[in-house]
Amino acid sequence: MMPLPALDSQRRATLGRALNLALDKRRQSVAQFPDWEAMRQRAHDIRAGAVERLDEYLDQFERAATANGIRVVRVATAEEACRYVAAIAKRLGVTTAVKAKSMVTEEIHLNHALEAEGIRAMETDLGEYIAQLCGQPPFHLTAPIVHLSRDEVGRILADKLGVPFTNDPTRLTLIARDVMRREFLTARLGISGANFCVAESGSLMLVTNEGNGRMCTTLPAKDGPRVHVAITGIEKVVPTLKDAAHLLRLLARSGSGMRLTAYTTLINGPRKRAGGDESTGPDEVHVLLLDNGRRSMLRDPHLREALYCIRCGACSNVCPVYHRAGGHAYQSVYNGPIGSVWSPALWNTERAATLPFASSLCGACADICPVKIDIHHALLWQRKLAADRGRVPLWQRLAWRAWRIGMSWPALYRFGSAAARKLVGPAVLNRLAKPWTATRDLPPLAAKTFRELWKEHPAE
Amino acid sequence: MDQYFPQAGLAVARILKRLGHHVEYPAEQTCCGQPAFNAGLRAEAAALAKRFVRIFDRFDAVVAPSGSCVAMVRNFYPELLGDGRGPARVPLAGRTFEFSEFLVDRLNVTDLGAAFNERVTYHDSCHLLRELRVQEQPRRLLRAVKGLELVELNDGPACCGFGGVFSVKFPEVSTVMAEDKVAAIERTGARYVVAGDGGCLMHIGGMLTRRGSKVRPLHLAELLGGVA
Ligand code: SF4
Repeated sequence: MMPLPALDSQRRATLGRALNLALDKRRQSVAQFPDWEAMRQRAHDIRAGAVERLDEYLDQFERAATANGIRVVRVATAEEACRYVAAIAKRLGVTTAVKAKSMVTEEIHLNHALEAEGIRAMETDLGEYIAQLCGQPPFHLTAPIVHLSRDEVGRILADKLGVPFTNDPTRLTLIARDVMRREFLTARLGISGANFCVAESGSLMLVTNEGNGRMCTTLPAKDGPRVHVAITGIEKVVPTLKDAAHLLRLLARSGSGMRLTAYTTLINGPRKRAGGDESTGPDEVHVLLLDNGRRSMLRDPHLREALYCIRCGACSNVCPVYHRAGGHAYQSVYNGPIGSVWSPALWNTERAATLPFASSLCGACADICPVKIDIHHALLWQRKLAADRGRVPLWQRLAWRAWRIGMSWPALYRFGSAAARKLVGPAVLNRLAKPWTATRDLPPLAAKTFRELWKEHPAE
Repeated sequence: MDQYFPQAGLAVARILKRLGHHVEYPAEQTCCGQPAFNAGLRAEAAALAKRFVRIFDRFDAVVAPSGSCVAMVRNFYPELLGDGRGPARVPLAGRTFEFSEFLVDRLNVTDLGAAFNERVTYHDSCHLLRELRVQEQPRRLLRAVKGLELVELNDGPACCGFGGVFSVKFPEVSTVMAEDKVAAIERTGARYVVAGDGGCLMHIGGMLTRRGSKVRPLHLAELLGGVA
């Protein structure tokens, strides 16, 4: 089991303030809907319907999107996806791409792959941009630098861009905007994710807060062909625009308490040439539908539900472990409760296998999830899979077997309990329980067990 | 319960008897299997679950002063004992109750005639709150206690960080959770923190004494049974 360290108390306080603010705003936002529970149920049903008939809807999406002039490509692995994007960049002859925030591109480590080919991918979401400047992965599903204070952000920008220090959010935004503007006006390759792929219309729905998603996907550059590539998971498909609209109502409210993210972009295809009525928009739109382990979740009835996730981040906001350990401690692109369900399905590593155990199973995540995923029960299932795959060390498995045998024979159990009192004693017990007793006391064993007391006075 | 909180168990028996019920304690019982289940070792857990069902199946109702054990039986036994194609039918799951919900929902009792002249706060154990949806029942029982002043915790309601083996496998995070919980408890000015789950009480209690706090952990049944 790999450890999950806690953040220092100052960082915890900064993070806690930001997360609790989001939770408060969510609470107020949700309180305006007396039928919030019914809305969650409907969102759950929409996602369940989509995932249950995933292949049907994927086919429908592909047909409709193709008819709109979008090139739809199914990719099985991260490498395949990265190679595809790099090939487009080469064809266009560009060395820079502008990117809207996308967890899937983090999942496949697209930026590194492009860098290896000499292509610089520039993050244009403000938080993501700052994370990129300091070479850090996003800290949170929706808020990449939620752990940083305003002062820290100011220092990072001053440091990396050589601008005068300020901690004023408006000024900070303007500084970043200046840098990005220049890139936006010349970029010919735009990369994004997609929040939903709408099957009936073949359109992509993308939400952002700064409008950068729109810039990355419309690409106002004047010289030469322009291409938008959207990379998303196969699970992101929803049957209808109405379904997407419903999910949209829950998405921002759950994550940040906002009614809607500031910009909702609906992409129906490349710029239309015939008639020449559209002057902006890319010449090509490509959609990569990525599997990368998702089908293994689809096949497992206990994990399928995790595919309903709309990446709102609420489960992280409410998670007591996330609050204390923070996003980077997970060492996984997908962190927080749902990340601990996803990670072992996507990556067969020791680290990923540890994550489902790093939970007290309190269930706060499942209660807040707008699509009602039983997140903590899925964690329990991932623990079982980890044990099945031999991720629980032999000595531990033997210890559990011994424990089970002890618990199956009351005489053995009684012997163990007597031995703990008479032969072993509190000093040794405390030493054995070191990880506990280093920071907490272990209450003394009762002088007499219940069964002894009961035997003495059964009819008390 | 057997090892650390025998008084809570005795209190449950005493209260149920006083209410006119016949109470038995099958001495061959040990553990419901939850620790192994949470560790991912379902075969070990299933062996104990079967044993549990065998021992308790003859009773009209099984009452436990522990939210997580009841959640194990009620919410997880059907899945655990299923054949892989679907959950098993476990009638006992529907007859297994947490102490406070049994009193309030089943027996319609809230006032046990107890008196306790103290300021008390109540900790919502996660399994009671979110697996069993037991939230109001213990509060109604507490409010009926003469002299008792109930002050609510203002922290979420957040987990205390116990989580079984979680507390020893991830001690850093678990410890900070307990520290925050204890700080919230102390802010209430209560003398006692009451809960319905032994694990939480051990964890919170262990942090309270380590920090030299005057607040004492107390099981709901003990308080109601008037042992404290
Ligand atoms: S699991 Fe639910 S709460 Fe967590 S990010 Fe996904 S949709 Fe949001």
